[in-house]
Amino acid sequence: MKRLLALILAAIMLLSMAACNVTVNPGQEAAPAEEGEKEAEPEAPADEGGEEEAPAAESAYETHLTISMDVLDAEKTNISAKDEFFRDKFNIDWELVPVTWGDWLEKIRAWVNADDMPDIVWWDMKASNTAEFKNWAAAGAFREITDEALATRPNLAALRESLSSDDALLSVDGKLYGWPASRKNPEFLENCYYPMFAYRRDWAKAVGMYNEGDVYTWDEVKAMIDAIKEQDPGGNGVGNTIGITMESWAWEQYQLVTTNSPNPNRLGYHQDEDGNWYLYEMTEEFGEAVAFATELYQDGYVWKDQINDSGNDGFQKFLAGQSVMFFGNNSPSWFNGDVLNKMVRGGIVPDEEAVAPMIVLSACGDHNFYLIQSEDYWTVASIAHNVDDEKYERILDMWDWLASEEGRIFLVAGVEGKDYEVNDDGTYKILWEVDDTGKYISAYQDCAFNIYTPATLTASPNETTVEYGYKLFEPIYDYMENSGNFVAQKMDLRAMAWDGPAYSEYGYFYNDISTEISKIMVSGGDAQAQWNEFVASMHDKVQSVLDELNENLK
Amino acid sequence: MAAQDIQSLVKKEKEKGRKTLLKRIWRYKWIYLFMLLPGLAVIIIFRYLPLPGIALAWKKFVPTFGSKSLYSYLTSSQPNGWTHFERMFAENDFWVATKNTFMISLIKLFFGFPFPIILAILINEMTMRRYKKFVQTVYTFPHFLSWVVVAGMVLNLFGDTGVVKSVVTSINPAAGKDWNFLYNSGYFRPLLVISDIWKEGGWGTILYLAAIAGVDPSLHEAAIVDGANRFQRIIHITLPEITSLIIIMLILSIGNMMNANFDQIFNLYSPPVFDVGDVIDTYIYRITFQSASAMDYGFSTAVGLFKNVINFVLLIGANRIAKLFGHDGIM
Repeated sequence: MKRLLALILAAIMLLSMAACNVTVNPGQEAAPAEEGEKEAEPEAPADEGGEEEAPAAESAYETHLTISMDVLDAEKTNISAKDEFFRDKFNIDWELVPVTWGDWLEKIRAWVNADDMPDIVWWDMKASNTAEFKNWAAAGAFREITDEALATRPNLAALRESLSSDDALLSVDGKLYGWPASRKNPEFLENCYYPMFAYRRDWAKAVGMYNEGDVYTWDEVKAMIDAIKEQDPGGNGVGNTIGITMESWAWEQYQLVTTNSPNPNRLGYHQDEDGNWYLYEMTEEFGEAVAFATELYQDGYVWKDQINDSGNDGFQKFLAGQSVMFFGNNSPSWFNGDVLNKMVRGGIVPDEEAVAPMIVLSACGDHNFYLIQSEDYWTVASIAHNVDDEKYERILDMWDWLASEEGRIFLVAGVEGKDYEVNDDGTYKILWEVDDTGKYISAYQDCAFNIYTPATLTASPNETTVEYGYKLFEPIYDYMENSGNFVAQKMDLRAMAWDGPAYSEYGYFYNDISTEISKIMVSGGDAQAQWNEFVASMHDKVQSVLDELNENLK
Repeated sequence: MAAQDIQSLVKKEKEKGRKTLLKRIWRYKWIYLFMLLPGLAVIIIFRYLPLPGIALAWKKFVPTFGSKSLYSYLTSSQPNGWTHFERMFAENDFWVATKNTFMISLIKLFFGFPFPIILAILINEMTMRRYKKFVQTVYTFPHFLSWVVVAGMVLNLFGDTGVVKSVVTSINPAAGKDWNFLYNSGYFRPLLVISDIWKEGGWGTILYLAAIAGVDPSLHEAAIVDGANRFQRIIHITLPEITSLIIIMLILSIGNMMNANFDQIFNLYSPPVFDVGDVIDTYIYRITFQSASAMDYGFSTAVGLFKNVINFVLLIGANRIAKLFGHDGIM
């Protein structure tokens, strides 16, 4: 008996080791163990939520392919009727490799350097990763996205024409190795993200400190937080309401400092009037903003444990009605998604007017509202070097279709006949149910669709967009367009795409700067003096990068 | 029966037991070897196969794509001499991490190493069987919690919105204003030691309890006849009988000094306590995966190699010293 048990145990141990290598996707059968093609065969229904079945798509492709891709929210991906339609249309199965915001870059680096990539390598590549990307591409990590391939795919070709970053950041020797998911923002946004505050407008009104248009100075913000803590309109207990919480990345990226910098060029390398390069964080005036952020933290306006939040505790505290303000990528979609679904419908706030985006003017310099321009795309997808021709063509076909008008309505709504109908005038009639207030109830509320992101992002608002978030942003957009106080820091792609040895080794000194700011903010004391001391200690290293830039890019 | 006869009888019984055990092992050798396979595979794959990669410490890493060779990156990466080591020794953060690794390990060794020995002896002295089991379970349980969970508990207890602050401020409202427990350099190392003892102390008793259980009861009986009290028996019988195990564990702990528990520190530290909490493992992790600039496996390999060489020297040194003092050692 003992011998049998021992044998069973040993066999289980071996089997469990082997099982570690099997990827099973939600909503579909286990991916075939062997990579490659198989003949098309009927699939089990993908839906588990009892959704109505989508009209089956007819595929123009005979060979069934399995395509692997790393993806955020893998557990919510590839589970809906919409996904089934797509799989049928392109005769594919997805093999999803999960990533999270916290490990995305680490995993991509490990996979690429170990030559163990999924077919589609999808990542949040920033302009500052250009040198690394180009090294990989030059060493043969990815397949080139050739002009010939684009010539037969008009939608992708049109996107390529409209972008500027693809040539500067994603090409090596004129060959394109990455496909950017273009963002199509309105012009006045100047390709800025929305790193800004959301706040409890209802509490501001309750303590009599609401400003029409949601524009505030820091003095007003501090007075408002003090009043809310004291008067406790949220019922957290007197003194218990937290002032400011934020996304963990916002702390790491010292956004509290950069939003208060006295200069539009608030971070990174820039050229002075004589064309000499400098790193803005190493200037004394950047220290002013560090000192201001330190004061905010030390005076208790910022949640003290924010520094240790590597997850999303800051976000959760705002959602739970424990903090007055929240700093994140608070776009209209964020309000439509998180605030509407979790705070309004969850009963945390009384109505849709209770939470709003907020402009807080810089505490230093000319007191403008600053945003930083970013790339004209969100993410980049590359096709792994070992993807064969058939799969390569299929991936590009998928992306081309997703970039078409048919693909756009698929992304924003879903499947014709199930999610929408085409009206006689060419507009679309959405078939989703509506709630008591007339808003669409998305058939895909708990689903994620980032497998389709690499092709392109869809412009909002669109046919299915809930108006709520956009209405909230009307005064903000009005301020950005008409006040003259909105300033976007422009991107300098020359510096960002530079890959000299010193720059490759040190980059923006981001980790050093972020660490030092955290130390100063928490320790208190004379922040400006501490910052100056840090700048002096970094001089030699920074100078080596500046010398390189001055020599090559002046 | 004379004392000598008793001793010879005990020796014979022990010898007999050992022979039976060896016979049983030989009889079931294939099962044991089969069960050894997964562990052996893990060691070969993760400990031996990567060894040639050490050469990266003297190369500039360049990835290769499409090669079937496991070590193709070694040929594509160009030699760059001692550059990584020069950079490493010039980096202030490296020296801070090295100093912290030693300090944290020494403190843990000083306070953490004796704890399971003392606890095992205390548990062994308990006479109420059920209570003894209960205590053992309570002390062992934290070992099964991951450091992510323990770090979450520490944050929720001692953080700004934590229970401890609430209790303290309810007594003394002024104390809450400057509450800074987790980000204070002065508290961080004690926090590491205490949380480590809390989590691993009970688990560490298992080996010692097994060793204590193997102590010949006749020695205690003889000591009782001679009038020795409990404390005297612990000092003169239990401790000397488990000394060999203590020495082995000490040598292994010293040989592991440069590994200051990455999981624990990574989950508990933050920039304000880097000066006292950043250790070589967390430093390697940051420069390898969290760097905003391109990662450099060569540099990370050099730092990792430095750490392991020191560990090796410490292990050999501790083993030698143990032997000098007449103990068995591990080699």
